Amino acid sequence: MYIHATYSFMHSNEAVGFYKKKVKEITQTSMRRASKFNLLSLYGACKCIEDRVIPSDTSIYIGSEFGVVSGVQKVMESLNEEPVIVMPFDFLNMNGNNAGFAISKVLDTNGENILMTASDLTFELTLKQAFYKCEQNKNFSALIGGVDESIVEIDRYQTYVIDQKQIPYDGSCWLYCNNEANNAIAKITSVQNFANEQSLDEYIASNHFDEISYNFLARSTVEKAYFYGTQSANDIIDLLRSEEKHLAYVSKDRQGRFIFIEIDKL
Amino acid sequence: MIQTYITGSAIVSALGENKTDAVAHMYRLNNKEYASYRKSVFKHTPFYSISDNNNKIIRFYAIIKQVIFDALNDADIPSDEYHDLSVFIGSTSMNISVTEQHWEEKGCFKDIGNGAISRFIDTLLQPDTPTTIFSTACTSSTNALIAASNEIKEGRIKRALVLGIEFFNDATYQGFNSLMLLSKTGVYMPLSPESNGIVLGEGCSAVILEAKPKAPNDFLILGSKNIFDNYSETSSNPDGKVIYNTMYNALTSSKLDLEDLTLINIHSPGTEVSNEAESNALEQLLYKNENNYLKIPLISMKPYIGHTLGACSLNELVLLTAAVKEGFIPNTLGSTDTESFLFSKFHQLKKKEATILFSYNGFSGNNFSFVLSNKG
Repeated sequence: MYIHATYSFMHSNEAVGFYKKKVKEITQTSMRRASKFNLLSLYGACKCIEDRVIPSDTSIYIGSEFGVVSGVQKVMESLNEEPVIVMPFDFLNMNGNNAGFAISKVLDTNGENILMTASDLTFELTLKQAFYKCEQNKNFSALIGGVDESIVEIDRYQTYVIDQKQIPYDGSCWLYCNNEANNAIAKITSVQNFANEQSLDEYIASNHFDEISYNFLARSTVEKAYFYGTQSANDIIDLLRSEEKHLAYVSKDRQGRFIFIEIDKL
Repeated sequence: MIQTYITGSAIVSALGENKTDAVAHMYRLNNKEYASYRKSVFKHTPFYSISDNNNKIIRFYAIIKQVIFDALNDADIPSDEYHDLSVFIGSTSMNISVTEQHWEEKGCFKDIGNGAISRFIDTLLQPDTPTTIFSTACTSSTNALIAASNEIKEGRIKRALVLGIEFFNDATYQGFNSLMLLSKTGVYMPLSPESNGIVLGEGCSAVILEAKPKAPNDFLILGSKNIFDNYSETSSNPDGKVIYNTMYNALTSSKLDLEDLTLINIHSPGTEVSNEAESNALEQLLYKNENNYLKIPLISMKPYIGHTLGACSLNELVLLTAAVKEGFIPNTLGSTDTESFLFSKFHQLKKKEATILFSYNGFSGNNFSFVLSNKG
């Protein structure tokens, strides 16, 4: 699967109004009732494409570790007030899959619209699904994004994150991929699962990689850093800035399982 | 070429606490008993409830655990092979019911995001690979099923556990209510112009997928098609063209003709727009000539268990394939035949086999069809 474009957006927590203004910079489509999650997704996806012409059947794959967290919080608060009133758009905005719908309307695409989630390895698993589809369909093209809202405003958010040194950010990081080698910047050559560190180490030892980057669970030390739920999307885009050719990204989950992504710079 | 078979399944729904009870209940239910059945499963409002009085958190985890192990036992998977399972989940509401109860008690999230479901599965099975969760509204468990099936067919994984999860939660119920999409009468009348809305339900099911059948009449996943439609956030285009294309392409990918079908399991959520879209699609699919339509029976499981949203395709396929394996086709409760459409009537099968086209569509533009068969 060839990577043709990337876009990385990470920002300290902002309210929905901030993202409405950002989205207005790139489209005049009315986003009056859109959720922060939708706007964040839309902004990142559209900036990834910029002025590129993409096939109408481009699919949209979004991975989100935390989902529409502010939307869910709003509805939970509504349910615990008197009287209980859940507003229609508050309910619709709980559905993270609407973000892909919004992107498809703005970009006028009719490929698949998939939202996925997981524990710790959300972006990696989303990328893997798209990668498999790409292998099976030579005409496949997709925008693949990792989108998460900052959880900093969630009460006692530190209890929900693995490492207290991490500062939650909003994030929307995207790859545009297809099977076309011309003008590609890199090629994802494999996305593999490893059940444990030993099997991963044996694989790395028997193959040559110029540079390997790690998700925060796989690193031996973690500096205080900004993070968002699908941080791996940003990490992979960072890795692509390497001058080296054979690259790899190692992601570990809290159960000690790994996903290993191999990328060749072109 | 590697195929994918459903070698085990399980369900907990309004029909019963397990698959055997559910099938026995479906066998006995006819249109005369439809009203009393609804009364027995609707607690306070028209909603198909699972009979379980535990609190939201306990029942969420207990029922998921039950369907997983019921399905594993059904497929005879030994416990020392659980780690080898690749797990795929489809759900709309995920663990919102857990969040609701925790919020009510403590005023905060229990977990943020849905990774907690995955970590719960880890405690049960210790799988070698992380769980993949799809959230694509009513096609969620379809996406999970077909993704798992494709990975087996492509030789990437050996065996999969696919789960469909949908539990009652106030957020979803109130949300649909605010959109004025819920039926006031609680009566499902599939594709009928008198149908007045959705009747929600809860249900949790699991299937085991493998490359070889365990029993001669295990169902095979023949083919599928997923087409996106950006007509509206809440429905497919009422002209039915996208749903028609989805069904038609699912058939052709299965290398089948319409006449090969025993049944078409329709989505029929119950709203006016969805009925219109699906009716138009089916008329295009079944049209022969001059107002003549192929009379392939349509069936809907929603009068039995309600609309179980992201889990609906998995819940419905578990029930329907189980009925076929028991040797009968269930009634489509609440249905009325028309000039164009014939609905299934209860009857025994000479051979316990069928070829079924399943069709689903939902919020956010996803339309998905797939074909199952256990015909020899």
